[in-house]
Amino acid sequence: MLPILPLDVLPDILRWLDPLQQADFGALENLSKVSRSFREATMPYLLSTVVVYSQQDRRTRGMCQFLLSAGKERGIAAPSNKHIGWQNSDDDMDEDYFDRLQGDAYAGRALDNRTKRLLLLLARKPAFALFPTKLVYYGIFEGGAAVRAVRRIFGACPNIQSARLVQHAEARVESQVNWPLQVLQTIAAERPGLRSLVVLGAHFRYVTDVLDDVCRFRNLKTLEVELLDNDWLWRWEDYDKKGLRVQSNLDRRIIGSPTTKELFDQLSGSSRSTVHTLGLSLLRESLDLSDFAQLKNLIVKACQYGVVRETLNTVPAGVTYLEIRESGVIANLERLMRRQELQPHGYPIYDSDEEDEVCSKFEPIFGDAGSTIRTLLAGIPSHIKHLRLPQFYSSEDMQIITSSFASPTYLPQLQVLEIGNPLKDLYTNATEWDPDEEEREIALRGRLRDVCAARGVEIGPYDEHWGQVQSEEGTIPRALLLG
Amino acid sequence: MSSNQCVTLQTSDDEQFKVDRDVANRSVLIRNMLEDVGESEQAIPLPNVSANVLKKVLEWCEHHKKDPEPLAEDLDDNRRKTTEISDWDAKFIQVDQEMLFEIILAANYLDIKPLLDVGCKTVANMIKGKQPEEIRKLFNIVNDFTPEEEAQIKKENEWAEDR
Repeated sequence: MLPILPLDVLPDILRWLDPLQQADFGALENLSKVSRSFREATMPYLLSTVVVYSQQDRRTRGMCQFLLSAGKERGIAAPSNKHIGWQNSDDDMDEDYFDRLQGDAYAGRALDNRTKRLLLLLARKPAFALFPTKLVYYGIFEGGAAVRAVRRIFGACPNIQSARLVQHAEARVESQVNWPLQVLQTIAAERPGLRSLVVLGAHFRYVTDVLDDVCRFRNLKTLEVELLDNDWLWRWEDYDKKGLRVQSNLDRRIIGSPTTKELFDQLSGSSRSTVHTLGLSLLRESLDLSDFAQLKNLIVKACQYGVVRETLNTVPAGVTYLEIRESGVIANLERLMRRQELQPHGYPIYDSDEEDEVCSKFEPIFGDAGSTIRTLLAGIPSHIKHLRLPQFYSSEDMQIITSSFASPTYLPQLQVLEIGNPLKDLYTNATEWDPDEEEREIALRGRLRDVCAARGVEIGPYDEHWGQVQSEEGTIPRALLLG
Repeated sequence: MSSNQCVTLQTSDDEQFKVDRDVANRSVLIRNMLEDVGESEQAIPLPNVSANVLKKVLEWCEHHKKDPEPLAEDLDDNRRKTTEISDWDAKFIQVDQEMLFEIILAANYLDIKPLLDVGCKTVANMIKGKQPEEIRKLFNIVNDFTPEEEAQIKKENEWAEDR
């Protein structure tokens, strides 16, 4: 006779089914139909995340189509997005539900049909309304409808403590780019006790406004702010110092913007003694992390290796997890910035002297002769136990990594090594790989695996480009990935 | 190996296992018990774990004895949804369904979070792509919904349909 699944571990199993992934959502839905006890255990997970695809702008729809096609290959997709629908308000009863509500008549315009049906269900079944704990909102966030929609969701779901707001990368209109002012202020009013806030796609010139609003959340534990990739090109000198400081005692803080010392200090606030996970991006100068007493995990994205090395020299001995995101970033940024400068009015400059002059401006910023993989590897503290590296396209880099790890004296405490696999890059079509190159890549990874096995270091399950993990958000700086 | 580096564990079927303290410490339950009792030669009773299951659990603990302690925030944030399992763990967990459930229960009782995760990820992967009836069959579960309840569930789940 088949053994019966022990019900008391069912929540531990359900935890591994992510309602944001299509296959997992289907599994949760099917589990909810198995038996009464299964339904009781499953519904909180099935309804745990409210996912909104704002319908306001055709570009959002374009993004959804992109997400659908990109996610299809790997099963990354929102639960309903096998077919995302937008309402035809004349014959959609759910729309009436919104129209009836005074002051919220336009909330429905910022929501996809599925979200509206969910809100209707939550209104009819108040017990279910307690289950959503997270909001994931993909959109343009233009105008009052988004604000009303967000207010509506928070009003309907009293237990949402986590908000992930993803701005469409193509938002350009002023009313779209200042969305943090509109949506964050609404959330701050509706849910001042928010615990987790992730803002992706903020425009750099509004970063201080984001900070303004972030400061309203006094109970925040997780804060992640990621700029639009194009905004990485903004001059850091333009950053307006407002003297604001985040007051929350954060546990986790990842900032995907150029991390200047000023911004770093403002965001650190009183969190220096509480943060255990810290993410830094685009460092132009090294930072001193020595007073982050509780720091355990450090994530460094798209930084010059020389600066990373100096910063790593200051990390407390308690840091055991180090993640380096993105390789070859300097060359890519240079290229991006040059392209931007060479096309200041939307068309390229063809004068070669002018081009040389423009290009030379960036050398003092990004020129870093010491930014090699050797520099990076030499700077990793010896107390690191778990190391996650990005994918490296260069065979030479992989060989250097392999020969470094072959020595048991290098990172003697290392237990787990994870390294990105360019063969699994979402933005590289498998057919684009030359068979010889593919074979060489597999052989390189095999050698690294052997070397690690010989010294008892486990190769972790992560072997994808970090960007793939984030691809659902539609905010991947493609140019960097293609580097 | 000196005796104070070893711990004796006694299973529900009265078998005793002498193991290295580092191995035993993978279990938070055992670690706490050891801290409470201090230096002792006495066997630690594990009334909820049989010998054949403990043997398997100890095999996992031995292999992972040097692993860093997982941080709660890692599990809840960036790593939480990775249902991939490392090669060694995948081979380890290739057991029959009864043993799989026993390992999960033992890991839960002994408070070995990473082992519990391996077991639960495996079950989660087994569930994916299966219809309710297939899940019932897989886990030997009786459908106790009335026809009225089934109709109600269908209505409640309509919000997630493609339209």
